[in-house]
Amino acid sequence: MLPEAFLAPPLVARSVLVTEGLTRAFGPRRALDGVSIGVPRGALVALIGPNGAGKSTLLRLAAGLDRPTSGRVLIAGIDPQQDGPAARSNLSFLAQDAGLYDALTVRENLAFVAQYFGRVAEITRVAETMGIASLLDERAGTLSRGERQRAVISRAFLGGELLLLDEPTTALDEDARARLLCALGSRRGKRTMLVATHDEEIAKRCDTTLHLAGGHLV
Amino acid sequence: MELRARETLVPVLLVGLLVVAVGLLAFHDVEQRVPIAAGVLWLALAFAAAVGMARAFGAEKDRGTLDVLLGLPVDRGHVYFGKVAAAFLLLLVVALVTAVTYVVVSGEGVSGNLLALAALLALGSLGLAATSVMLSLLATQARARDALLPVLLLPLLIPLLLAGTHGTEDVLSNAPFAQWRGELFLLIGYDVAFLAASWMLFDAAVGE
Repeated sequence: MLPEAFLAPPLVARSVLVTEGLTRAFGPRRALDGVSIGVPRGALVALIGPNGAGKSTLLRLAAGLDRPTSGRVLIAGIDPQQDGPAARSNLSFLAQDAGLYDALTVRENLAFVAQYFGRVAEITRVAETMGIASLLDERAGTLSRGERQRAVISRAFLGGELLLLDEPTTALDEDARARLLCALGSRRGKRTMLVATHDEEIAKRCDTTLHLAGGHLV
Repeated sequence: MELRARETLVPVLLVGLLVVAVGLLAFHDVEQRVPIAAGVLWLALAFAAAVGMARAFGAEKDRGTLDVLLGLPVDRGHVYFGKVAAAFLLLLVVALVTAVTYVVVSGEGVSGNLLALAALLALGSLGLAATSVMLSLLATQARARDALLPVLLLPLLIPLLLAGTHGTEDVLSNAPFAQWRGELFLLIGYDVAFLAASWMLFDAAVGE
């Protein structure tokens, strides 16, 4: 499925994420250049490309954590620059270097986000999915790198409908990776997911793949 | 979270106590004690703001939680006010501990209009919190943020520190209200201006 197919009006109308001519320049360098995509509701989409292709930039712009140089983003039809809270209520972003509050327990870290999306009741189930249910009452500062990554992924699943995941398999062992793949697969159709990844297993399981290189879709 | 980790509370309290210690040692034989007391108090607050409060967002970025905070489905101005509230409370604790320590160690006793002193310290702490938290966000997006922060912060604090120290001197000297009301109004104006401007600009500052 070509990226341009996402831009057909019927598909844009039912897309949770739409970008139109999205450009982000850092001085003379264009990290993202005129990218237009639409991610349909319930789709699992992989975003792949070499280092410096603009994957993280695209996700950060979609999450409203950065401001485009030109173009715009629509989250469920809402421009984050016009109504940030409404747009953000529809999404959940997992950054590459996402962290936890070390002084809080894992449960408290998850609840910190879940409470804003009415998903507090799902904390235990999501933690079980990612294999950290036994760690919920431990302080986040005591977790290993891999356990922290499982926890931040769990936190992302407790956010809004649109999941923007930037390299979620970082620091995951085989068991955690398998759990993540299972979690993504089980949510297909119910959540909309855009995953920036180098992991071919994830890419293979996606509905479609978007290739970025040098800030452009290829 | 601060009560559990005490990441900021301990260093800023230590800074306050250090300022008291150095102030008392350096000026122990100066006859005019009121200016010394006022200077020590406000120096402790200024350093506490620069050392502790100005890391409000830098610490979040280092920890990897800044994106989580800014990604919440709330008006980002609420995030700013939340940080300011926390910084304000910490600075009040610094002010109280510093003042009590000064009184106890110097043996000078307590004089002056304490209610007015409390009002000046509260207003000053609020202004310090408002300014340092906002600059903390701006600094997270700069490259040399640890060097940039004091360069940006200290000039902006000059009106507040001038009003605070002069007002405190007058209050501790039992001066009439007419003598220190200018400083009081300046502090109120400073707080209103910086809180309002920061709240309006906060969302725009994210991602710049």
